[in-house]
Formats: sequence, structure tokens, C-alpha cells
Amino acid sequence: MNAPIKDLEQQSIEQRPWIGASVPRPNARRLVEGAAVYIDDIRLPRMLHVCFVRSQYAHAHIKSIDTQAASKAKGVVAIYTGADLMKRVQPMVATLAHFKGMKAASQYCLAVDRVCWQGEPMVAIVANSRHEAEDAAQLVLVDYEELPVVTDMETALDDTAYVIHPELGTNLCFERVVTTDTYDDLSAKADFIVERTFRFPRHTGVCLEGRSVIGDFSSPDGRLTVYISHQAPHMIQDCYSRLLGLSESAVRVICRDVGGSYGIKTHVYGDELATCAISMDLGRPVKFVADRAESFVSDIHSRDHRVLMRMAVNKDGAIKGISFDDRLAIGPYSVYPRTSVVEGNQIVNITGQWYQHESYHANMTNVYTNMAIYSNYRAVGHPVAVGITEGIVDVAARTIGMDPIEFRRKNLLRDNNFPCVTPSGMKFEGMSHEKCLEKIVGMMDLEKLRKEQIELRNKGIYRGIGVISMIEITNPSAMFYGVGGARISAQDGCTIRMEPSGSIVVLNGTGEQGQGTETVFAQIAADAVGVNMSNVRVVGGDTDATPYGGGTWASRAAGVGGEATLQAGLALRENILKLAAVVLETKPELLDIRNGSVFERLTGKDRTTLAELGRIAYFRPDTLGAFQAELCVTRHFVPKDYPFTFTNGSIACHLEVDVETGFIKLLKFWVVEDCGTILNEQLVDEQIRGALVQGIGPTLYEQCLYDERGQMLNGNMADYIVPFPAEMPDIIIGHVSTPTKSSQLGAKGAGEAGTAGAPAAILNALNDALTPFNVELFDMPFTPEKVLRALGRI
Amino acid sequence: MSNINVRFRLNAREVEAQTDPRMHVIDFLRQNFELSSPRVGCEHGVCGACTLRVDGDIVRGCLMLAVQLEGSSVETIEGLNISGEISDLQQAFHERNATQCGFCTAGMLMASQDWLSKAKTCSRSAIREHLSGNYCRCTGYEAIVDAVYKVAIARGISSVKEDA
Amino acid sequence: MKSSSFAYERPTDVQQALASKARWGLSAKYLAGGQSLIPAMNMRFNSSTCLIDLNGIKSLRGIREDGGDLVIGALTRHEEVASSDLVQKKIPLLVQASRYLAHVAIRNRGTFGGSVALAHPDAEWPAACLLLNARMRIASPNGAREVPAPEFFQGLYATALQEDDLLESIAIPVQPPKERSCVLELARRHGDFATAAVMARAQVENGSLKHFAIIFFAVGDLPLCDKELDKSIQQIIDGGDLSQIPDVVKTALMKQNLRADLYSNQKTKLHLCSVLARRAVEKLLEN
Repeated sequence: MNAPIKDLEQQSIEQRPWIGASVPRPNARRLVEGAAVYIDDIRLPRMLHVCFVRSQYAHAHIKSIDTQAASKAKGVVAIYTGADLMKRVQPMVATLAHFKGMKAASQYCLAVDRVCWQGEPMVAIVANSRHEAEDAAQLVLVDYEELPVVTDMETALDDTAYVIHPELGTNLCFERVVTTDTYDDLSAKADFIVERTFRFPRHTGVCLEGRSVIGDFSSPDGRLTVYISHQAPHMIQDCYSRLLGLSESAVRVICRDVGGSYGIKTHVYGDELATCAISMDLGRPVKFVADRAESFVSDIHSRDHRVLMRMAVNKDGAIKGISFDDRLAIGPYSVYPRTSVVEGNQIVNITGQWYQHESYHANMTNVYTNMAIYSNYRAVGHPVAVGITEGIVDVAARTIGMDPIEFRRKNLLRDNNFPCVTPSGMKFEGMSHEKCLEKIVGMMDLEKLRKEQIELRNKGIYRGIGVISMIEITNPSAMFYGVGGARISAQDGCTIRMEPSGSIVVLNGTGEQGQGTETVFAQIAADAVGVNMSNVRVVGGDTDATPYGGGTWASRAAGVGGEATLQAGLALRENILKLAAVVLETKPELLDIRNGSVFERLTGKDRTTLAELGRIAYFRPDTLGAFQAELCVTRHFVPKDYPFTFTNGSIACHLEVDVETGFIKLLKFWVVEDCGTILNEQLVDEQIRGALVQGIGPTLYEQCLYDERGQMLNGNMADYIVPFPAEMPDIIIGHVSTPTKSSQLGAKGAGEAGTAGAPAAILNALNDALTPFNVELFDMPFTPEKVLRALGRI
Repeated sequence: MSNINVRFRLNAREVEAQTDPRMHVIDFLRQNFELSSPRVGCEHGVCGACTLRVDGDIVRGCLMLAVQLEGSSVETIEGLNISGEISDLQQAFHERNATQCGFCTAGMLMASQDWLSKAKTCSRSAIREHLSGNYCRCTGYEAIVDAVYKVAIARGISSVKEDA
Repeated sequence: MKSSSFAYERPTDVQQALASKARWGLSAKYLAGGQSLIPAMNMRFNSSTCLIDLNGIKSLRGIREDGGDLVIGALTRHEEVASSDLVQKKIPLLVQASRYLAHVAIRNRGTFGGSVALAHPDAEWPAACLLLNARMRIASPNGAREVPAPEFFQGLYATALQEDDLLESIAIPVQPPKERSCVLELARRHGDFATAAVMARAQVENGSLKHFAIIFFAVGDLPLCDKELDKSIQQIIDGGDLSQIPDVVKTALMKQNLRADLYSNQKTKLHLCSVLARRAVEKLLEN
């Protein structure tokens, strides 16, 4: 048996030169040379362009649509309304069985009879160019009859509230209550109950590349090729085939370079689906690229919570219980196929669970509104769960007069007390909260910062420090979607093939959007087989070419896709050695491979090369007797031991508040992340940095602002404020490693933790800065006006 | 409206094309010349993905009309690849992983080179300030600053103390 | 977000430009830097049927000294003003302001005259023109005229420019040699339009600051100034207790129309103005 790759940290660099190395991404070279290929870069013969007339109103009955003038406009080839496409496209109903009691209405790809959010696509104009399509779109006359608009989550469930979908009888999408047996009125049991109301703004993704798709239907073949900027090609294949009435194998999905996604592009969008239906009707390729204005009102939005959070603590600092009431506002439809309830559901599952406590009560209410459609975006639910937990922990510490670090030291789950099951029912395999906390305190030299804070206060300069602990769901099993009936795969497969020249090709369906999955798979494959990474080519993003995969979401690529790659590589190595043994007339267990060379384990002597074995296997099989070489191997992997593989970490924020103007300056961040085995530290750290800045966005700047008529007020790049370089801090990163035993690789995910923890770290740092003024803020984003109001300056 | 003929230098070659006046430079270069590095990110002039060089100055391609290129010299990343002007910067970006999805990268490289070619001194905060016209959603900016700073030092631009 | 169709003309001198405009009338717009006009066209907020491109008119470019003024051609780029040694020497306030003005790529195309003609309430140049007593030189089929800044800027995006006018240049008196000036902007992000901003100037006489003047912008339909307020602040400067400044600023500005934006209401704007005014004085007093 060849030596399996395990205990990677114990292995020498000769044995595994690639896993763990911070190699630059081979496939990023084309990005710096401007040679990336995004969907908009693809031109197909006879390709047409589609743009959409979108609803001006948040809620209205469509009385009539007049496309006469538009259809005569220059360059227009066809126009489709919702009624036209109803005949070709199934409606979407996004519910999942494991979200018990969840209610969702049918959503058509283009609105039929009624529009339910400002920006909902209604009419598709197909023309020779986008310019001409937009010219024609201006000529479409829609007669609307406005309907009452629901925008306030607090009143959406009142008896007097207007019900958006009469057939549902309510604006309630989903509610979930989790209560431990030990829960009761905590005030009888604890010395203090602290309670605060937190607000997290509705915000959106602002991917630099707008959502893009080309639907290319070949009538003679009956085959639809979908070129799409997306994170989950197989999911699109499944959904589109069912919704468009095609067999699964009649749909091929191709993902090329993706210009940012972060969860925005993991869903099925009506306009993209309509584009493909139109291609089927016309028998020609049709391209749709969402421009910036329509992206703001048609990409999914996320967050938008009001949470009443409570914690019961004793004066010795022990947490006795946690309870909260979370209300969130989604759009008018549950987004297909993942639904719009995962965010709230995660919050119920994980809030507070990294602290010792017995009593837990979670109440989550998810309501429909006429604001933009809403679903999973990076760190789904975690920014809220971590925000409310870590926010109330600091409040509790302040209330009892305990240092917030001491409070955490006392209450965090013990590193040596795993595996365990939490009060909310989460199974934790292994975490390192204590280690991470100590490490971050050391890294930031907390004592020095505290001393400096006091000195600066005397000079009227107010700095704050916030240190938080957190967890993050990664590598989900089928418990995430599959059990609910969603055809979203939790498994991944990898095929590795040795070419005649001895190089290897890795076919993996997981996907790459810039996080570095292709690089990491190449590293794993190189070590697993025993070749130089420069002899590894990775193929992905094509449902025709790769094994069936789940795509990237919930930080699963490295842990799940990576493990499938590892197993396939190890299996191929075995097969190569079997072949080598036949060729060299020896036993496989006496041989091994390194750097493309087969060598004798005992003597270290090189005996032959993979290139030579490739020549023989493919071109001289007559010399192998009865032996058949199998140099193309596929393995699959799905996490089985735990429903989710949790990571943990600590994040610290150092900031300064200008108390005269309310402006907040971020000075520095520190992160200690435990994501198990680290496959490429530079890539992991860059994911942490990017994720963290995305978490800063809605904490200080980003918010989708709506008026009471459901009109988005700031749907443009000037008024919707995303972080740019000058205001962003440097981020210092360290690691602890608790590999997961549920895979040989031991890798957990790392892509979302920064987003999950940044809001909490900033919130705590802000309130720490303002302690001399005895004010607190919990309403994000923390705009200068809110800070000034809290300080009583306005 | 009738098309207008535009003659200009594109990446050091004399070229000519007809264009509808309403076409902005990015759509023009992408459609008429099949260049892919000039990109559309917002068409508001805010995100910087469309940053390219006209007559030696960086501009927002989405806010310039193609017809305005008459007699100008336009440079995109495709041209800089040939001349090698930013090969050290591209190398630094690649090594430091200052590019993830890559969509902002062409514009970011253009803006970075503009600063590098004029800077007398360098500091991280100066780099951050200059690049504040370029949006990146993936990297959080630090790796980009690292890469540009490294190249600045290597090119002999002297480092100064950061603003407090 | 593709613009609707329009015709395009590229006059080579001012007379040609005026003639084009006369031919097309209301439906034509002058194209200067395009940094505000093109986004509006892209978003179809503006659907002019003809754009008259002024970028080819050499007489509209350049910065020159003329008597006690600097004369800035309307088509002079922001970055040309920002990097001009002449401007740095004679009207350093403009260079100070340019530090906040968008980003290099925008400044390389955007023009001084374009910004003045648009009169965006949050823009730097209109505020600078008012504080510096600039005079706008306007050409029209009926001849040339000069309009002082206070008359020129009339309201939100409203100026004295008539339909057939073309702003040719802006004459700005040079700052006196003993003058100090500063620009302070509070913006959520570097280069954005400000939440609140001030420009201030004063002259150093016998070691003291005199003739203080301040303008507030990004807080109203127009930049706001008040000669009585200038005098009150001057008195406070003379007296030495700068902590009195915020209150007099608030009292004065409360009489004016402050304009809230998406993130800051009038109270916030008022408060920020009061803080910025005091900080501006502190800055002028430095060294």
C-alpha cells in the first residue's frame, strides 16, 4: 500500500511539496494580462441580445402591456411577455421539506398579471444589440394599477396588513422556534439579564461583473448550452432542464471566469432563465448581461434583520442562557431553489453555540415584503448570529464589570471538550476557541493597545478595541439541502487522468470564481499522484466534462472538492504503481512516485518515469500481457460524519471614533482562523481579507434604502456605498489548525469567516471607544449621523 | 444616427473604424476591436473597471465617447503586455494574489501604473488613496497595496512614513 | 445602461459651437469633460439629440495670468488645475480643493468650466468660485459678458447660463500673498462628494488672522456663505476662544436652507458645518 497522505503537518516537504505551499495561482496569470474570459467576452454566431422592461412599482397589477411600437423599433427581433413565456417555462416554487411549515408562492420567470417588487422583469426585448433592445424597451407601454405595498417587517404580520399572496393567506414565509428543555424565564435563574435590539441592514452583493448568461439552443440537437457566470453549474443544469422541459442530458452548463459572485450567483434568476427559454424559441444564441442599475434591483438582497437579543449571566460571569427574537424581511418570493429562509435558519442553529450555556431559546420569523428578492449571500446568517452573540457578550461583560476577554475565557467552549452537541442541536467535532483567543490577544498586543487607549482618551482621542470569537459552517453534508428535497449536491467528484506524456488532468465539478480552487486542486493532485504541479492541468466549469458536483457555496470547495481530488489522485497513484510493477516485473508495494518518477522505496533508486509508463499503457499495451492499465480514475466525496464542519476563529478590530463628526476610522484588524489543514496559506489569507472587507461594508456603509412605496432610493454606485481602498485597514492574520477527521485532507472551509465576524468586531470596538460617553450603538450601518445622535450632538 | 469614422492609435497601431456616436469607448473597443480587457462594471464612472490610457492619461472609458478618440493614442492592457511596461507589476500582482476574480484587474493595473509612473515617494496610504477610484470586491485591497508597494520600492521610489 | 441615440458635432472654435447650438436648440447639449453628462446619458436621464463636443476648441483650454487674475479656460481639466505650478503659486486654494475632487481618471477628463456650468451642490469649483469672487466669462450670439459668481450660481443645478450661452473662461482674482486658505471635507469615502465641507481663507496681518471668510458646501442647494457670519467668526478669532465658533455657525446657518441627503439630515449637516468651521480656523492658525 502506498503511503496515504495523512497527518500532513507531520510529513516532510519532500513527501508532499505542494499541499500547504503558498504557490501563486497558475490560472491567474491570464487575469493580470487581461485575458480572462467572462460571459460577456463570448461571442457566438447569430447571437442576439436581450434586455428587460422591469417593474417601476413595488406592487401592481399589470393591466396591459403594449409592445406595438417596441416591436417595430430598429434591430428588434422578438418581444416576450410573462404570458408568452408561461407556455415554455415552469413556475418556480422555492420551498424545502425540512423547513417545516414554510410557505411560498409560484414565481414566473417574467411577471404574469402582477409585479411584486420594483425591478421585477416583465418584458424581454430581443434585438441585434443591447443598445437597440434598450431603445425598444423605452417604447413599451405598461398600464399598471398600483397595489398596497408591504415594506415594514414589523407590521407585515398584523391582522390589518395587506397580504401579498392571497393564496398563502399570510405574509409569513417561515418561522422557527428552538427551545431547550432547560429554558425557562431566565430572570429567576440568573443575576443579570441583558437585552439589546440589533439591526442589520438589507444589503446586496455588487459583484463587479453583472449577472451574465448566454442561452444557446441548437434546434437540430435539441440541446441547450448555457454559458453562465455562476457558482453551481450542475444545479443550473438540473433546474433549467426541469423548468424548461428538457432532459437533464440535453442541458450543458459552462462556467468560464466569474467576475465575483459571493453567493449572488448561486440562485436561479427569472431573467436568466427567460433568456434561455427565448433561445429555445428562436433557435439562436441569446445573451443577457445585467447592467449596474438593474443589478441593484434584481440581484438578491440579504440580511435585513431586527433582533432582540438577551443573555442571562451571573455576577461571576457565567452565561446561563441565551434567547433571541429575530425578524427578517425577504422579498415577495422565496428564491429558487435554495429558498429565502436559510439565512434565518442558520441563525437559529448557531447563535451563541460556541459558549457554554444550558438554556437556549431562538425565535425566528421570516416575512415576505415587496422589496427586492432575497436569499443567500456570503456567510449566510453568520454575521447576524456572530453579531448578536458577541455584541451581547460585551454588554454582559460591561454590565457585570468584567473584562470582555476574561468573560470569553470563562465561557467559551473548552478546546479539549469535543466532540459535543450544542443546546441548539449542532454537532461540533473539534474547535480551538481558547487557543485562538490567546493567540489573537498576543498578536495585537492587547495590553499595549489598552494603555494607549487610556492615554489618548485624556487627549480627547477615542479609540476602541473589539475582540470576538466566532464559528462558521463549512463543508455541509446533504443535511443542508438534500434532505429537504433540493437537487443541490453536497457531494463532489473528481476524475484524474494520466496522459501519455505523464502529465495529469484533473476534472473537478466544484468550480472557481477567483478564490483559488483550481490551484488548490492542482496542489492536492500533484501530491496525491506524485508529480510536479506544473504538470497538472485542471478542468472545471463544464457539466459535460466533469463529474457531477455541488459547486461552491458554504465554503465547501477545499474540503469537499479537495477531498474528492485527493482520493482520485491516491487511487490513480495506486493504478500507476500497479502498471509500473507489471512493466518493471516487481511488486507495487515496493515502488512509489515522486516528481513524475517511479522509484524503489527501499533504495530510493529511480526506475522509470510516468511518461514512459504512459507510452507503454496507451501505445504498447501489447507488452503488458493480461494486465489492463486504468489511468483514469474517478472518486467522489461527501461529508458524512457531521452535518456541517464548523471552523472557529477570533477577530479583533481597532478603530478610532471622531466624536465631533461621528466618522469612524478603521485602524487595523487581526484574525486568527482555524480552518483545519491549510492547503495554500496565501489563498486562505486572501479569502479572509476579502471576506472581512465585505463584512465591513454593511457595518459602516452599505444599505439598500427603501421608501414606504418599496422604491429603492440608492440603487446606483454613487449612493450605495461600497468599500474602496482608502478607508480599509490592513489585516494581520494568524492560524491555529484543528484538522477535521471526516476527511483525509482534514481541510475545512475558509471563504466566509471574515464576513461573519467583521460586524461583531466593529460593533464591539465602537462601543468600547464610546464607553466614556456611556452610549452604545447596535443599529447598523454605523453612519456618522447615528454616532452623533447617540452622543447627543444632534 | 449615422456612423462616424474614427482614426486613432490603438496599442501602438494605427486603426480606423466606424461608430455610432453614442458608443462609449469600452463598448467600442470590445465590439469593434474584440479587445476584452476594457470592461464595463457600472457605466457610472465610479467602479474603475473601465480604466484605460488615452494620450498617456488614465481615463474612465465608459465616460468617453468613441468618437472622441479621433487622433488619440489609446492603450489597454493588451498593448502593455506587448511593450512589457508593467511586467514587474503584473508579476507582483500574480505572486501576491492581488487578483482573485480578475474583473477589476485591468483597471487596477492601469491605475497602479499611473501612480507608479508619477510618484516621487511612496507609502501604503498614498497607494490606497490613489487607488480609491478602483473598486475590488474580492481582495479587500491589502494584497493589491502590497504588490504596488513592492514594485514601487523595486523601481526606486523612496518610502516615506505613513500618515498617522 | 446604454445611451439613446444622438448626433455629434465637433466645432473647432467658439463661433462654430454657438452656431451648432443655435441650430439644434434645446435638444442639444455641450459636451465638456463628460464625467457628469455621459453617466446621465448612459442612464437615459438625459436624452439630448445632439452633443456638441467642445474638446476640440483650443481657445477654451489653458490657464493664464491676466492682471490680478488667473483666467482658467472652461475646458481646462481638473488635473491640469491641480498640477499647475501657476495655480499653486497664485490660487493655492484650488490645489487644496483638488485633493478631494473625485479620482485621477475623472480629473483627467472633467473640466473646470463643466463643473461650474453644472453647479452640482456638492462640487468644489462652484464653492471655490464663490469664495474667491470669480467672474464667469460667457460667450453668446449676442456677444460676450461677465457674470460675478454670486449672480452666476442661482440654485440647485441652476446658473445664469441661458440656452444660447457658452461659458468660455473663469477669471479668478489671485489670492493675496499673505493669505492662508484651507479646504476641509468630510466624506464617507475619499473622493466622494462630501457630507459637509468648507473652504476658508484669511490674511495674516502682524501675526494675526484677518478678513476671515468661509463657505459651506455639500449642505445646501448652493454653497452657503454669510458675510455677517464671517465677521462674527473674525471677532471670535480676535478674542481667542475658538470654542464659540460652532454656536455662531449654527445660528447663522439655521436661517439658511440646508439640504438633507440619503444619510444625513439637516441637523447632522448643521452640526458638521459647525465643527468644520472651527477646525478650519484651527487649521489656518497652525504655525
